Amino acid sequence: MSEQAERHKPSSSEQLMGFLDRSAGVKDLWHFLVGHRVPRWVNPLDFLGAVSAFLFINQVITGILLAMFYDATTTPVGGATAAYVSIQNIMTNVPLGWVVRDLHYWGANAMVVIVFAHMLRVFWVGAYKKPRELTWVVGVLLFSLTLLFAFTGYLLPWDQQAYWATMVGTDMPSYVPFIGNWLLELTRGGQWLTGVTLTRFYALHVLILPAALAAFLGTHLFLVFRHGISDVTSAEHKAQHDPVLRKRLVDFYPTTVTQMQLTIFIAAVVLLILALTFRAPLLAPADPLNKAHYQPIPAWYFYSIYFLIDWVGRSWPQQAWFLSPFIIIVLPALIGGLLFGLPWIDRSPRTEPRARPMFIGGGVVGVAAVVLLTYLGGGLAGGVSSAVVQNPTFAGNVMPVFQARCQVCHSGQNPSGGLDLTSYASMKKLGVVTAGNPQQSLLYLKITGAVPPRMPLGGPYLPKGTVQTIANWIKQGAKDN
Amino acid sequence: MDEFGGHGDAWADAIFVRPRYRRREHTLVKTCTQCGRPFEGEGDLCPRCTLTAPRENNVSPEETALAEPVPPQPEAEDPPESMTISRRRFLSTGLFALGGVMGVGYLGLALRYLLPNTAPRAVPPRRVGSASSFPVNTPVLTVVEENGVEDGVFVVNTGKDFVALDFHCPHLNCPLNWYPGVDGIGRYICPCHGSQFTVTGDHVAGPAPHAMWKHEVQVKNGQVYIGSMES
Repeated sequence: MSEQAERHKPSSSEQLMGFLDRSAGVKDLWHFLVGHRVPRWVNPLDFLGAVSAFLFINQVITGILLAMFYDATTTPVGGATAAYVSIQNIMTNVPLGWVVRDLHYWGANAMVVIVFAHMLRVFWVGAYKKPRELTWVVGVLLFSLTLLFAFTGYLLPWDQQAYWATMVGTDMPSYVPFIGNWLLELTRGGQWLTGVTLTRFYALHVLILPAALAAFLGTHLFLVFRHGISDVTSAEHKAQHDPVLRKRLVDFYPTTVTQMQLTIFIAAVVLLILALTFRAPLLAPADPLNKAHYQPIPAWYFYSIYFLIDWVGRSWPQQAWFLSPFIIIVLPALIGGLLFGLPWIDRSPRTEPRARPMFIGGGVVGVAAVVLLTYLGGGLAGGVSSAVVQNPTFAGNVMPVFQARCQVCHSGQNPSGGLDLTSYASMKKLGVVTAGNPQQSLLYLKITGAVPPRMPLGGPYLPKGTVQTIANWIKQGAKDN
Repeated sequence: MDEFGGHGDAWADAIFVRPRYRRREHTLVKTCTQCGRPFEGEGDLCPRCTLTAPRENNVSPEETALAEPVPPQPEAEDPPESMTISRRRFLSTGLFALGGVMGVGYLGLALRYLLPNTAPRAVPPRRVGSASSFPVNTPVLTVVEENGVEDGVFVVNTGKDFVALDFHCPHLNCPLNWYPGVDGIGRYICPCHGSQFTVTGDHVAGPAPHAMWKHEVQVKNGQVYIGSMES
């Protein structure tokens, strides 16, 4: 055989590609996915969807690893349950188990944030408009699935936080008219939260939701590739009639794909730093009788609803019984309807933010409201108002803190340390407050931790603002006002 | 046929519809030859006219070529339009009907499987202590087991009789705490959303929709017995 002929003999990789192309048409697929040209500089915010997809892959990998050691049963094991003990085992005995759990925990939190940010970006550039309506609708579905993932995963460690947050969360559907109780029993598998609920949530979390999310993600990606990225498409259109612009276009692969991969790499590094720095929490084992008087708080992404329920309850205690279902059912349904219907509500073909002030304005107000309510709810999660009050009163600002955070122990026949915090007179008996001087008041020194043990015993401790409010009250004479 | 003896990327065209070529065509606004409305897309007819147009306008040249030549039918033997149903229509309706029946079957199976049996199961009353061990107007948290699930119940001696109150708040099922010394006697206060109840479980304030849930309670031979939750 001559040298010439040997050079024309296809290499084994070329043969493999030829085979794959004949049998599966991979060249067309490849061309469909990456065979287009895009502007040289793509806004990094356009990579948020890619980062979301990466986070989902992180959840799948770490989730499968966790499933190898996790035990989704409530069989009692020495004062705890098999589920709780298996998580402890992952965190302490399994090699790198803590890294896997922390990556899963921080990946879940990051996914809620990044998917939401991705939605905001799409909203800002108007990329949900014709012909991308379905891409948007599937995207909103993916966001809902992300929240459902977070909610079902929250229960699995079966600690106090998991148990009581899920007790509250699963009771919410009971306010749906007519079928509420039916929904409640379907979710819990009974009247209360039990091992049946845990098994059910586990099956949802590792079987149903991943399958649903993968299917919708596939649909979403297919639609994205079918229509192209919206601002990239408009740049391409301009370039059609502009030779200078056309020269500035680069191949999507490998230039843009490399930028995308770089963004994902940065996200992965941030995720790893978070996971290595901050431990995923594991509280005391779930106690269905709550003998330790744990105060239930929701996960941070539900703080806004948490704050609203609390706010109406305190502002209109007599009307709260019908305002509360409004917040639990009607408000989320309205927001969901608005999100799903957005492409048909905002029908104008203009996509520039400046050309649609009504929608951008509404979106900004809505997002600001969610952020503010989440912040306020975070203050509440300490159980008390975290706002600093300059001229506090005993009845209005100090007593509510005592009631919410101290009286569990400091009340009754034998109050802890002999200190009874149920009234002004009983508090004064022990002389824990020196009027005008917080630094000489045992009450202040205890809640700041200057005199250990820090109160409330075992935490969570009072927010800084609350401590400052109590300090202000002592400075101003610690009066019974 | 292409060099490999197959249809080349024809199937890819069919599945992916070559979005880039498609999109450029879409941007061309044409005028419908039938109704005169502007539209974007392929062909000479707007989507509405395409739908209402007679069938032959819809058939692509290849399809016409592939189709078996149909012998002309004598017109007089055609049944009236309202009574006919095309073979295609019959098959597609049947396809979806059969698939739908299977889907509904699996869905019903899953729902019934997942819903717990709600048939009332009588829970034997459980002794929680002697009547004299409950001080007046001071709730005591006791534990009752119902269908294998432990449940916290406040037992209250009102001085006249006994009341057994479920310790889950009727708002969103948070665990209620008893605070003595509020209003002279005390109140149950929800740590989550601040609902408040009197010592006998009546709703005083907060978002709870009604009073605390009660359990059956009996006093026999000086002993207090607690049964299942009253509905």
